[in-house]
Amino acid sequence: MNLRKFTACAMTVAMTASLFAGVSVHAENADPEPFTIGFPWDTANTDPTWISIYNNVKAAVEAAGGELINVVTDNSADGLIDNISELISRDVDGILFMPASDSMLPAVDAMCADAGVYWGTMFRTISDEDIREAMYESEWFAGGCHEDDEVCAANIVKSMADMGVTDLGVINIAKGDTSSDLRDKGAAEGAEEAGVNILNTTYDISVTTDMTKAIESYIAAYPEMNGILVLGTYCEAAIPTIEKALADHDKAGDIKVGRIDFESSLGEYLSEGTFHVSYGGQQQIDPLVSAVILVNRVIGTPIVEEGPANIITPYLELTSAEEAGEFNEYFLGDEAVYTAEEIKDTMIKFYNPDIDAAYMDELISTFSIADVVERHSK
Amino acid sequence: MKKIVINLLKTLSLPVIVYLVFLVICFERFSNWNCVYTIFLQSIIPTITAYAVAYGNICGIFDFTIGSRLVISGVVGGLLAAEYGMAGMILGALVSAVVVSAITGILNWILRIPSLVLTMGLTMIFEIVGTKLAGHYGFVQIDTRYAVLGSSPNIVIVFIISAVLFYFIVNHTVFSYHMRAVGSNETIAKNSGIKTDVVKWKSFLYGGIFIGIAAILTLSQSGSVGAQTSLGSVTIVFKPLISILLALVLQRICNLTFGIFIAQFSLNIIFIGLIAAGLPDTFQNVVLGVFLLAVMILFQNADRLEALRARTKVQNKMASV
Repeated sequence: MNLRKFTACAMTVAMTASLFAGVSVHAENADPEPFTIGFPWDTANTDPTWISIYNNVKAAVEAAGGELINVVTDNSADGLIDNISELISRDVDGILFMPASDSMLPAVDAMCADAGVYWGTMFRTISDEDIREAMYESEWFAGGCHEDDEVCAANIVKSMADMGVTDLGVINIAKGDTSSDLRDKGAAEGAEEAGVNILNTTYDISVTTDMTKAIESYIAAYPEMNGILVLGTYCEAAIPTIEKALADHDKAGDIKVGRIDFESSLGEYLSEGTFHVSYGGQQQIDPLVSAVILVNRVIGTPIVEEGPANIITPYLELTSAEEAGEFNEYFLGDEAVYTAEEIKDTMIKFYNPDIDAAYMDELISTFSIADVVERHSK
Repeated sequence: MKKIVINLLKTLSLPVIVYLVFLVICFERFSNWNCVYTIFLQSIIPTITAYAVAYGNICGIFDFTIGSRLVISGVVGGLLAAEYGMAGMILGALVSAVVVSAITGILNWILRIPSLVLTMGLTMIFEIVGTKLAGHYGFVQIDTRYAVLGSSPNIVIVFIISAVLFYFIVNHTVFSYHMRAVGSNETIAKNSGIKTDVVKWKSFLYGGIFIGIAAILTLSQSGSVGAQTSLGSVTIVFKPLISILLALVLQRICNLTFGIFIAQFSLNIIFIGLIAAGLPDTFQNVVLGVFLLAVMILFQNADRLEALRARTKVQNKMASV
């Protein structure tokens, strides 16, 4: 009797233990520990591109069960350092941001290393060799995405040269910004290669009145100008403003217009034949994959084991009104270019151990407007 | 009469000299009528914006909200243009500019905090209002049918009407004298029986009319008005403000209305001249700054220079004797 009782108790204990053991194992594998990612971004900006960037980062963070914590920023170097300090004080596990310059990165790394917080970048590469080397050695730098701005700028200038452009007026974002400098460099290389004369470059236009003024000044000062290239701008309605200025001077269609970075109004002007070529689409995939890199590092399943993961996201080319319409619907809508479920299955290593740098490169190489339309069209 | 003609020639010499400098530097690009006409057209909207800024400036108010009020006015005008056409655009822009300006003036009256602080805070609020009104894409675009006021000769006609209106208010009303008194010394003005708060409120209100006009022309010329955030709208005020500073210096030889236009026209000659000369725009800001300082130093020290010249003349005379 005692032996039977003893056996029953032993078996009960064993079964209970195995049950709890089973629960424990299951819980360890189901989801990563909760985490938070800090994200300095200007969420007050109603530009659909800026909203879509936030939506894509949010989707990537939430795909792994994390929470995105936003602080509003002006994206300047000083402002970002203040934002990062604030996010560290709010005890985040990782910080993703768009660097304003290379020189701010050592300060960011020092702050994050002190606090034990991983950090990642989006849209920007590190041009300064010394800073790059130092950052790549940091265990807290998770990596990030960037585009080949230089090659893209060279290519768009050559595309415009193929359209017959010989004298080009250029608009760009503020000097000193890494992308701006690389695009300037690329445009100069492309122009030299294709025999295009860059007449002048105007920087840091933020309001439509200044954009109109710049274009009208180009028309007045350079009668020979037959192309306008927007290498980058934070001015709202840049292309409609340029098109209006050209139309007022009877130059719409005669002067070829190109732009790096898509905007919502391109379709209308592509169909009218007054806008000619745009490279972009990276504004959604870049922040999404940058966030994926950081999230994977924060939850303990980094995409690359040693050093930061750096992925180059491609520029897409927009040449038809139909594509522009699809871009507006599927890239600038409320949904990210990969849904949280898609990100979880294909980009979070915790759920998919096959993921590594080569896998990500392969995945991103299939990314296009048609790809997003196919996955998300109802 | 002779003095008026001499002063007019002196005033006109500013843009003429600047133009001649650039004509020498890049004759081929600068020696055409189209270039001069474009400079003239480009000077119109900043001049009207400067008229709006001038009211506050005369009263001693530093106002950051001008740009954000212009954006709200343009956005409302653009939205109403889609509903009610040209009339909707004009009325929408003017009424919204006057209403927002009146609110700013009332807050300045009631809250009694420095205008610099108040208008900085209000700019942020107005920018958010502007972005909310602008909707999903962050900007409002108008049909080209309603953009006729942005092209010549309509824009020139609107400019002349605006200039006449500004000239009349600033030179031929009791309000203008009160405004100058408040700007010169508010305490003395108050002790003299001037209702300084009402004068300041009116300066916002009258400035609002010109903001409305500038918004209509901006909307018509650019075809769109984009919302601004993070104090981006403040940049709209900078160049008009420079022209006011120059005009205040020129005031001893010409009227403020004409002076503001001449200053803006001269600044635009420099702007296009530097572009034509192939200089980067970072250099343009340096030259604009140097130009501003040079003109101000020259005019502010005109009396001392005159005295120095007279002294030298006397010394030379005595030496010859």
